[in-house]
Order: sequence, then C-alpha cells, then structure tokens
Amino acid sequence: MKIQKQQWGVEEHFPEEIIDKILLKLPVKDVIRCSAVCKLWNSLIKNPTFIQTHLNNQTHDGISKRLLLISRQSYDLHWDNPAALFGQYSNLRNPIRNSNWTKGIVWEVVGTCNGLVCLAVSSIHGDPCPPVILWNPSIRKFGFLPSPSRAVDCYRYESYYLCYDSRIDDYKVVRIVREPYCQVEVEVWSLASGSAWKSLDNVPADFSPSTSHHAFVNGALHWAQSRLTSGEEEESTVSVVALDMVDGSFRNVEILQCWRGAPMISRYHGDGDQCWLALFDLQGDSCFDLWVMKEYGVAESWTKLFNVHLLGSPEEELRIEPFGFTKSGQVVVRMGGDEEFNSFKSYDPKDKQFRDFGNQAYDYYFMDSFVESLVLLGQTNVFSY
Amino acid sequence: MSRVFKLKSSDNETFEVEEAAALLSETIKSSSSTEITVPNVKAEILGKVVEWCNKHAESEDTKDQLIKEWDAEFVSVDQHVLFKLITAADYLQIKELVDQLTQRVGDMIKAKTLKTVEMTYPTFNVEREVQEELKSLGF
Repeated sequence: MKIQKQQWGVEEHFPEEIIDKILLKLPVKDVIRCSAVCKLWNSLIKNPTFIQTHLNNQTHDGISKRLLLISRQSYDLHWDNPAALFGQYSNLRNPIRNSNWTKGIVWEVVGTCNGLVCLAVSSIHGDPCPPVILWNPSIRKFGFLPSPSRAVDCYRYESYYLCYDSRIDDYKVVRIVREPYCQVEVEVWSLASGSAWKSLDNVPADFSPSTSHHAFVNGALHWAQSRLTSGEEEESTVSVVALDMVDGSFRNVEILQCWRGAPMISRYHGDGDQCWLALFDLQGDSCFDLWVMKEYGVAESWTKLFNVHLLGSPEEELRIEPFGFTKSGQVVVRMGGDEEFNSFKSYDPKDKQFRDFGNQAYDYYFMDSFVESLVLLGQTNVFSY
Repeated sequence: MSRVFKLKSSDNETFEVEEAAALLSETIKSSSSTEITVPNVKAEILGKVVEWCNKHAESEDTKDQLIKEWDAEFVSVDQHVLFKLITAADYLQIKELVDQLTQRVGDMIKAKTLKTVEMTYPTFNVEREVQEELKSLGF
C-alpha cells in the first residue's frame, strides 16, 4: 500500500465554496481522482448535496447525454447524439460476470436512473433467489439490496423497477410480485432508509401492470394494464396506472379510448429537457403511432406526434417494434423478419429515414438514456471493482 | 465625475482604480469607504486583479472575441499564482473573475496538468467480501 503526500501549494484559506465550484464542473472520472487528493476534498465530494448538485449540472449539460445499451454480448454506453451517429462512447465492464460467486446465475439490467443501474436475476438454477444489485458504472461501485420480505417460487413472478424520489433525493426500487391466481403484491426499498422492504397496503384490487413495459415520468412509475371486459365480444379495456414515488399512492392516468390492444408505454424526450409520458399504438406488425401526453394528467393533451411504418414489399414480411427513444426525439426500433428480429435502426421523424443503430452484431434487450453521476459514492456496504 | 477607489495590498502598496472597474467587485460595491485594504493579498497579485477589472470595465461587450483571448491569456499562469488570484478575486467578490479562474483550475485537472499528488488506496479482495455479504443475506 502506497500513500504519497507532498506540499502542492494549495491555499490554506481556500474557501470550501471555491473548491466546490471547481469540482462541480468536472466530469465524474476527474471528480473521483480529486477525491483522492486530500481528506477535505474527499469529504466535500462525498457530501450528498454535492453529489446531487453535480448530477443536476450533468443532466442539463448538452454534451453529457449518453445512451445505455445492453445486450447479452456487451454493456455499452453510446453518445446520445445523431451528429455522432449514436456511436459507442465506452464499453462498461460488467461487475459481476465471470466472478466466482455468480455460480451460474444470470443477472440482467432492468433499469437505470441518474447514473445508477439496477440488475435483477433473469435466470438461475435452483433456489433461493439472489438479491438485486444497484450499480454505478461511472464510479465502479455496486451493492446488494436486502432480500425481499417474501421470496417467491420462481424469479419470473417478480419484477423490479428503479426510480427516484426528487423530493428527498432518494433512490427507490419497486418490487412487483405477480403470482398466478393471487393478487399483485408491491413493495418498495429505499436507499436512504436502507434495510427493509416496505410492503404497500394500498394496492388497487384490479392492479395488473404489464410486465413488458413501464415508464418513469413525472416522479411516478407508469404501466399499461388491460382488462378483459365481459360482453359478447372479447374486448379489453386499456388503462394506464401510475405509482407515485413521492407519496406512494396509485392513480389512473387518462388515456384516449381509441387505443385497443396493449399499447407500449414509454418516456419520450423532446428537445431540451422535455419528458413526456408516451404511448406506442401498435397497428399491425409494421406500423405504429407515437402519442405523447404533452400536459401530464390532462387527457386532452394526448397528441399524436408521428407515425412510423415500414415501406417494404409485403412478401418480405418485415416486422417493426419500438425499442426506445433518444434525447433528440428519434425512435429506436427493432426490425426484422420471422427468422431474425434483431436489426436495430434509429428513425428520425424529421426526414423519415431509418439508419443503422448500434452494433449490428449485438442483440440488445435494454436501452435508456444515461448520465454519469457520483451516486453511491460514500455509501457503506458498496463494493469497488 | 467618477470616484476613484484606493485598494491597498497586504504589503502596503496602493492601487488607484476608477469607479467602473472598482464596482466589478461586490465587496467594494457594498463598502462604505473608497479605501479598501485587501488582507493576505500581495501587490503582485492585487495588481493583476486591478488589471483585469480595468480591462473589463473599458470593454462593453464581454462576449467579444478579443476579450476572450485576453482572458484566456490572463488565466494562463502558474498554479500558485492562479490560487492566489482566486483568493483575491473571492475576497473582492468579482464573480466573473472567480468563474474564469476556477474554470481554469478545472481545465488543468481534466488535462492532468494540475500538480497534485493523489493518494493511492489499497485494493480489497472483492470476491471474498461479496461472498460474505451474499451469505449474510441468506443466499
């Protein structure tokens, strides 16, 4: 172990506000280097207010936008910038792959928020189910969440969602258990309160959130849910249900009645910092409409932004499915035929063009916008790798 | 007829500064006197700060390319001079000068030209610790 120290001419009277001012402007990797300079800088950087302010600066800074692209083959960060052709920015070293303690378990990325990534088990031989992981790849730290209050027989019955309570600067993970023939259970864990999962007792009786898509918008988690209505025709009504992360309440978000089937819910980024609840209305295999709720909570504000469809010959039987958004308002889609459905393209509504997206050899299963942050720095019980 | 302010350095040298330049400093602005002593700041440094204020007072348009180039040259000084300038500009509360100087420090940190020595911490045996944590979680 080596510790070197020497006089480097720093003013003894340097006010802390000045040091904060300097450090807040730095990218994450330089802040980490600075945290090793001296104890004062270390404590300034690990201050939760510093971490939050630094994150807010990054979020509003145009050049810090990244996309987290996860495939079975690789974990990558890409530039969230069409001018850079959404090219690869860096490859992330998976903290848990090929470790001795993984023992045949496969974790997969289930969410990202403010630079944190949430990993949950996607495959395991045998019981019991290993814990969920919170990981910050920018500072190379990760930690385990405590085991939930009630284990389930199969990992497939549970799903995890990562989100943020901006009122108290707290990160929360929501666990939803959907066992066959049972009512849906919901519990929440918070980074600030640490140890135990808290069961929610206000879950609506008809709560049946879609397993495939969700959106964290306006401080709440949203899911589409469809219920079969009794009647002569087998019809389902679609609704959007939201769980507010600040007060823990459930509410419905009004949607237009013209949508049938199970729309895919998502979060749309417009120019600047706009963030809208979005719905993809899938119309067949090769066409979909994008709707956004321009004014949250106001049903009349649902606006159809554009339609995306494939112009191919019918014999080709190409399918297209929305996969995610970039911050410049482009849609990333998954395309393909029956044999291979893993060609990813970005669609620009301005010129209606599809362009190759990502590494064509990878089969992505997760994409979301990403920002480098210091969250988890200074937390106890986290590991560095 | 604009007022003239007198700024005195810690080594007793006095600088006369015209009102427009002097009022770039919030400290001077809120002072009741036109004679201000700046503690802990020697003449060499105070002189440079005065030079910056004079330059910025005479130039109306701070977005002008020439002034930007002048500013860039101004902050390209040795590390220890840079820190002394920050202390002075902070005491005098000249926001734009503090911003420019701290930006320069940040750029030097990013370019790794700032002379600091970073302590190296021992690396831990993560595998063993992770296995222990998993065990304590019942897995």
